[in-house]
Amino acid sequence: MAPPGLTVRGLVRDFRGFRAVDGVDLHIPAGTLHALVGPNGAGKTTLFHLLSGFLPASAGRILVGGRDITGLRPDQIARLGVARSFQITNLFGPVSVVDHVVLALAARAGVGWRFWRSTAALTSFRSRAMETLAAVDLQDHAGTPADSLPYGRKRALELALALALDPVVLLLDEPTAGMGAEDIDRTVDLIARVREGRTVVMVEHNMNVVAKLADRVTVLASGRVLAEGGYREVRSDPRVVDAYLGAGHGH
Amino acid sequence: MKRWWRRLTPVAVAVLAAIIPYSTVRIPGAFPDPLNAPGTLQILALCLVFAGIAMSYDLLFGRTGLLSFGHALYVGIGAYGATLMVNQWHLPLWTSAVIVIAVSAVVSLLLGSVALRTTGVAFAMVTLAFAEVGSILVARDPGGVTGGEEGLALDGSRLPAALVGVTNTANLYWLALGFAVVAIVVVHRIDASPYGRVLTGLRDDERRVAVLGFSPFRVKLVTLVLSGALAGAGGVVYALVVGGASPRATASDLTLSLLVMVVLGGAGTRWGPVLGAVAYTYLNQRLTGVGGLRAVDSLPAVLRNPLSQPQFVIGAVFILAVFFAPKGLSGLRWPDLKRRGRARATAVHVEKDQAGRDGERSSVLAAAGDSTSDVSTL
Repeated sequence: MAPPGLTVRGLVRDFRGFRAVDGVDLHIPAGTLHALVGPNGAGKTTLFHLLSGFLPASAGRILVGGRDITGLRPDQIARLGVARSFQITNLFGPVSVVDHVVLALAARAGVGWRFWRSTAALTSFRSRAMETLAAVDLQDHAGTPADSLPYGRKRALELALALALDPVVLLLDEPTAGMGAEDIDRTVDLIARVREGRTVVMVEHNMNVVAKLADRVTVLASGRVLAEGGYREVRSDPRVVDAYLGAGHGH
Repeated sequence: MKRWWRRLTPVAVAVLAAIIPYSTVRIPGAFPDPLNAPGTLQILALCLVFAGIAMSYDLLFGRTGLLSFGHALYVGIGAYGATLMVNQWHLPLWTSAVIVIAVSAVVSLLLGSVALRTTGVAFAMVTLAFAEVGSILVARDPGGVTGGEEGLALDGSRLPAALVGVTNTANLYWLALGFAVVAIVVVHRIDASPYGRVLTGLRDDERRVAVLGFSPFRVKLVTLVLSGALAGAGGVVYALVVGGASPRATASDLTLSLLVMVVLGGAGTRWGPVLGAVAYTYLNQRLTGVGGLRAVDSLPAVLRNPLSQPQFVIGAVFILAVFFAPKGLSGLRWPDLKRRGRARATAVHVEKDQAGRDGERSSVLAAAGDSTSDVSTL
């Protein structure tokens, strides 16, 4: 099944007198990897919250594969095949790494509601969970509680959870934030692999990562789209340089 | 080796508990009479009823992170419902029990749908409001039905003969034990199921659970219904053990006691709520006698008066327990006592405060209502 494209039309989000997202239009063709970049406070994470349903839009529409998802709850959007990772690691503290993935798999299979201890269901998920963990190189930490993981490995678990849902649209919120060089390379390889057959939208600050992965880049500043295009053309756009370095930068 | 030992111990304890009514052992200081005396069995039965009700409360509080101040409402529905149905409408006991449990479930469904529109402190207040309505309704005694301040005595002639009379206290004890076992088994099975994992997830991070495709509202509502139904069943057994229903079953005091029991024993732990409930109920029942002890009488008035109040002693015990054993009685290990409770679970919050990069993050959290910071800091 072909992944859907993502379209955003005139999206606005207001916060008590502050307009965080100011009429953003985006078109992300199916199966592409699209990077969202911009200086701090540009509205990237707010945009992500809007796309994943954590914030209601003040105006505008969001369409996934032609289907209007504006105003849907996060869990409804998730069930449509849109998975998202978080910028601030949101994991379930004492629960073990493999149990996290098992839960995600169970959720996807729709058995999350089973009250009674269904050991059979859980063990069948375990082997698939281990495969998913192997994809992010976490198979050796399967039994570790999530809050004992080093930061870089937590982000990897985040990614594993998003993958376990087998989404058609993947929203990655700063997947390499806070990582060391080795972790970053690993993550870049992983994203390059898993993007096949999916539409990926990625917020990133690390321009090397964007250069390696993105098909197209959208630059946001002050809640508006400043520029859009391939990485190289966007990078040399004078408006973009100004936005990052501040107007009046002499060189 | 260790695993089957752990599995066997609770069964062994349950078996021991079951044979207590046959034992003439005396435990001096703990109980004034031998174990199989009606007085002792009554106290133990009450401990067991509250163990079960505390487990139902912990399903909400410890396992899902929902601080409810209205749990007493369902115990009251159970106690008053069963008493009324048996006394006034002449229904057989078991039918009344089934109806009452169904009513508790429906009421918690309705109230939950309203209360769950809020989170954290607001949720606690809404649940408190509903419980107070129930409490006032009972005290007002509409149509003379609820017996007002004095409550209602269960009409013994309409109960199965095996449950009536002092000589049958052992049967009531076994009934309470049965209820406690059922409540414990239900909650433990939920713990081990996928649904139980979702609950743990909800307690730690609601947004994460939503992203997996679960509606936090629906999951919480189902939990409320389950715990309300269990508490309703507990109310029925409570009425049988105590001999009727009284406003004490619906008072917010009861919910507060449940909260103390659960925190004392260790919220969210396997056996914590049971330990806390047994300890609290036992102390509550037995400490009323402390005031009459000669040792206490000889103390100066400033010490004697507070010590004669069971609630004071319990409160002091609670404070000491929370200080020395913040994870509750069930989390007690010797090194912890020395470390004086510095181990608090704040890791999640430290991480959340760490990343302050994007300027809009704080406004997003403010707008979205940071629902994760409600209970875990208790």
